[in-house]
Amino acid sequence: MEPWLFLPPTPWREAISALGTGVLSRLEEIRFRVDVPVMLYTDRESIQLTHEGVPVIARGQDIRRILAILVDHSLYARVEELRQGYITLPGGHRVGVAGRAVWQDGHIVTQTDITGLNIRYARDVNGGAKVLMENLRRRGIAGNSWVIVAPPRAGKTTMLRDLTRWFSQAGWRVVVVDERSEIAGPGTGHRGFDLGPHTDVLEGWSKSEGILTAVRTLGPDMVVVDELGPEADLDAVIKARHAGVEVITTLHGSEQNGLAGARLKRLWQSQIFDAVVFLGRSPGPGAVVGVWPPAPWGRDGIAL
Amino acid sequence: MKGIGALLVLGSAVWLGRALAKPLRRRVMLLEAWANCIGFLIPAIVWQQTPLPTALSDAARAYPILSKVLNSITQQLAERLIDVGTAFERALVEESALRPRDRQLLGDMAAKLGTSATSYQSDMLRTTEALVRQVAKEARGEDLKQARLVESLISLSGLALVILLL
Repeated sequence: MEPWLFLPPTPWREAISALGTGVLSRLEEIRFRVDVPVMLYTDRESIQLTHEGVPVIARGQDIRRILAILVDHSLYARVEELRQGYITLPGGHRVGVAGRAVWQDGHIVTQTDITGLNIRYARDVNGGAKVLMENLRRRGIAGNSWVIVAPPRAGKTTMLRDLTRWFSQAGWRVVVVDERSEIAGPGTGHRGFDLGPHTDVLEGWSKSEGILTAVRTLGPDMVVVDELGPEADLDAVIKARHAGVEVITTLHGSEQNGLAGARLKRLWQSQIFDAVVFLGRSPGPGAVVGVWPPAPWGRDGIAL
Repeated sequence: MKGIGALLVLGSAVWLGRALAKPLRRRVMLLEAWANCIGFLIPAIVWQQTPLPTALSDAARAYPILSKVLNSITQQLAERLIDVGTAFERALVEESALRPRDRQLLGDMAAKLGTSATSYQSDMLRTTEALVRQVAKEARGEDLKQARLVESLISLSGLALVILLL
């Protein structure tokens, strides 16, 4: 059984270990919500967690205890993550945290009264990068700077990890700016996922600072960064591209919404990417559902 | 034979006095070690943001007199079943030299350890350190005096017994 399943304490651990291997192999998420049964989510269904036939219910104190155990009783080291609504566990597994925001001077500083935990399994899937690469080359896209756009749980981070490994194994010097420790999934002082022999990881750095530091000090051929956020991130990506560094990054979105998203529109208009790749969940996470070739000969041949 | 008997009685009295005074001396050493240990934890938690089990393991190496208790706590935490307060409580039960007030002080600290941002941890640890130092200072004054008194009284009783027997 995957070690991540043992992260919650008893009685949840026993209940999870009693699940059949069929469920365990497809398990994607465990959700603890206060005062309701714990739910398990696989790729195709949701199941109530039961222990000896009785649904397992998490109370407020249970959720506090689980959170304390998940963060190794060291919340002081996770305040920034908690403020952003998640905790990353060794192995890159992410725990979404739902609670009451604590405001100070007009900013959210942390969360309290935690009422929900969503433990999400980080998978390492080989082969997606190769398929995507072949797909892009078939379309005549020769460059290696791409924006991967997808809705949540469509396999963006998994694809990014596989692409990192692929380029690194091909001899590229890759720097991963891993603000949330999800791509590399390191343990204390150890590497997590295999990201290839030529990959450096800037763990916990903000994306903008990490990208600029990587370009300035680590001499990368490529920078990989997940989920671009505010303007500063976009500025840093554009600077990296102008410095001659390839960048692969991701954005939340979908092909239907297209350029309605301000960030994708700005990246598209900056003409610094060779392709925009859209991923979807069907037939499975990581499925390529659309590709926009480089602007200005982009979608529908319209120069933007 | 009398001389050997007298030496044995005297030796036994000294040994008994030391044995009875040992918990009092140990309490002083423990409290001073705990105060230093908390001082050690402050930079580990506040500055380095070391995970608590690692910080406690490092402290166990730095303060051998606390190593049994601290290692027991880290082992319990590694099982990922209980909280820090419970782990401290269970581990401190094994340390008979501490008084209920000492345990209460350390237990209060343990209940809050690792549960808040560094600034709050820093304030809480500094306050606890000051309190433990104060208790240690009092113990050094009172307990050591009492320990010396117990040793002297029992040794002198042994000596008196020898004189009477001779």
